[in-house]
Amino acid sequence: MSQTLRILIVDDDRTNIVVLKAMLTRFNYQTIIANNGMEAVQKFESESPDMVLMDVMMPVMNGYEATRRIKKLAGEEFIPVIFLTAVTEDNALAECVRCGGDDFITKPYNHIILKSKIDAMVRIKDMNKTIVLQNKELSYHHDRLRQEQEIAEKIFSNIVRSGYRHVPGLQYYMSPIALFNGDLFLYALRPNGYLNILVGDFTGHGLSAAVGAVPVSDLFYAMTSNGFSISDIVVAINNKLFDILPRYLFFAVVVMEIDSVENNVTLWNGGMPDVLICGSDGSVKKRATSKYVPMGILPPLKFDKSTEVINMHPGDRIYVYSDGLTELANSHGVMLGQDGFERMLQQVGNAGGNHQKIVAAIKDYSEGKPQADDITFAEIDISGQRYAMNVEPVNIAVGKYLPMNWSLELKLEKALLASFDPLPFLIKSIFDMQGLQAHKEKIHIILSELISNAVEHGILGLDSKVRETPAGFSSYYEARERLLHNSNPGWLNIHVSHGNESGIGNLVIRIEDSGAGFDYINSTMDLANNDGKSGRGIPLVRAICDRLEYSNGGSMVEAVYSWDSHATITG
Amino acid sequence: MSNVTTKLSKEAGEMTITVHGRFTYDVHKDFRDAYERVDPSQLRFVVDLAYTEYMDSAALGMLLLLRERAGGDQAQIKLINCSKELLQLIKLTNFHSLFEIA
Repeated sequence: MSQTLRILIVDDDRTNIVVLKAMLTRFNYQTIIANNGMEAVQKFESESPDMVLMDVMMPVMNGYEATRRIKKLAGEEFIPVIFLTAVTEDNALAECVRCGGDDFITKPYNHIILKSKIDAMVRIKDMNKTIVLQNKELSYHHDRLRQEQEIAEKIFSNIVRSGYRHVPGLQYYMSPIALFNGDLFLYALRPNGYLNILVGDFTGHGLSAAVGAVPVSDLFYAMTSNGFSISDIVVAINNKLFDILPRYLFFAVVVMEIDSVENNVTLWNGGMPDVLICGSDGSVKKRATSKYVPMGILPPLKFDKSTEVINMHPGDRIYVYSDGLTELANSHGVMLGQDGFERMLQQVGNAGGNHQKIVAAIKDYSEGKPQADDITFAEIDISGQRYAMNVEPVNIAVGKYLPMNWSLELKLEKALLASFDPLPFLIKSIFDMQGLQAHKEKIHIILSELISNAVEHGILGLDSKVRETPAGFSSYYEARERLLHNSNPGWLNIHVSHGNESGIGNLVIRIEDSGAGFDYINSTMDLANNDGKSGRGIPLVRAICDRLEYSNGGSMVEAVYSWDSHATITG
Repeated sequence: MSNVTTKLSKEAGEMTITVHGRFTYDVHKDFRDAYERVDPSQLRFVVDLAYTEYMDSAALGMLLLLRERAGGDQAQIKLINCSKELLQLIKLTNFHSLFEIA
């Protein structure tokens, strides 16, 4: 220590004090004197000595009590107290340490030994000082890190949850273990009313896992609102993550698209637990098992974007969750497991329970034991929902677009029909030129229904009646994929034009295909009489359009959608 | 306690890495050191999981890193003695398309 050590001598014997003081002065220490315990405490407070040499038996207050008080006052700072005592009884010596003393020497003492003990205490004191300082620094940095993480978490939540708003029929439960959630849960409505959902799990937890969530959220929300299908979305997300993630990080994920009108779900599962389709009694009717390597691992050329389509019945529910749920352990360390979770769904379902009851059962299972991984669990019950017609209007500044005269034509042939989705391109072009954002949902439905009718019934010759049975439903989509990829499917010609008739804008969509036409008469029943399973598209389009006309036996269709540029558009 | 042991057969051009105990992020340094001591692109690898009690997604990440260092699509990596639970994890993540499972 750079400064002279200041030592408090506590003794009621004058002779002892004089001898000790002389010795300490000779060793270049400063001394402070107290004649009993009480005085020692007072001097300690007023003089702040660095060390104390303490007698045991004294009037007013003994050395044990004085040491207790001094140690309490010293707090975090290490003030060594060495007892100098005539007592040699074991219990009395033990009490010296028990009351907080750091060492003791029995009288009469040897000067060299006392000096050595003081030196040893000085060394411990220095070490202690360093530790206290480092601890302070550590807690300062810890607080700062925590603060910065909280700010980052706020930004993160704003990005990830920017799309969160109430969607009827969708309920979810998320329980992260760290400030940042390693699980990601996103949902948004496509302009055509499909509900897109993403449930994913990054390797690891906390900050590093959360960083990857930002581009995933951006892509998911932007592409969903621009009407991209999930196979395009999974490709974009995989390619982005392959570019930015270090090789040892990856993203297990389920992306799905739910059509509440046709009652089916299209999904891609890479590395997540089975997605379950359950009856209202909680029994598992269908499952979608992981078929692919998680995202961020395979380069663009090796990535498989194939999706599967599952048909559901009214009242069926979809359950999607992260492995934090199936790996949830109870107080005996037993994991819930896939079977255990399915039994839980059945029990709750049999008792007529709902989402809240399942969440309660999950919490009961872990009995308050801390979970080892982030948990995400969502239930989707689309029966009775018609998102296509229920989408909340988007409040976009429409601007002063006047109806303009323009047209565009797109011809797709053969392989392009299978690999390129013309819909987002067409929608974007129409909005860029004409600013019809407020009509987005309707224009999207017209284009998507007419194009899929032309491809599926016109070019590929598929019969929509096949879809009415569950078995036929999946074989329909398998046949669609097979024919698109392996046969020589022909061509599709899309012509979109727009004109102005005294302030009324007329959007004319004409689609022509190479097929032999199809039974469009039977597909044009009223929307009200339609069972919603097959041929739903055309009555719906007819209800939205001002005019819809088929010709050439069904291989050519023209739809006219009019809008009034004078009307105030609220969406 | 987890630890990683290796056996290098120069003649066969093959290294066997055995992970004892829990294969999690805690062994990532030992696991990486095991193959970084040699030139991983010149070798075939066998990862022996007979003594592995538990494996999480971080372990899968470490295997991916080994695969990358050993030549990516050209890498020859065999995972042997996988337990039932391990096989389930591999099936779930479709890692059998990236590694040889024996």
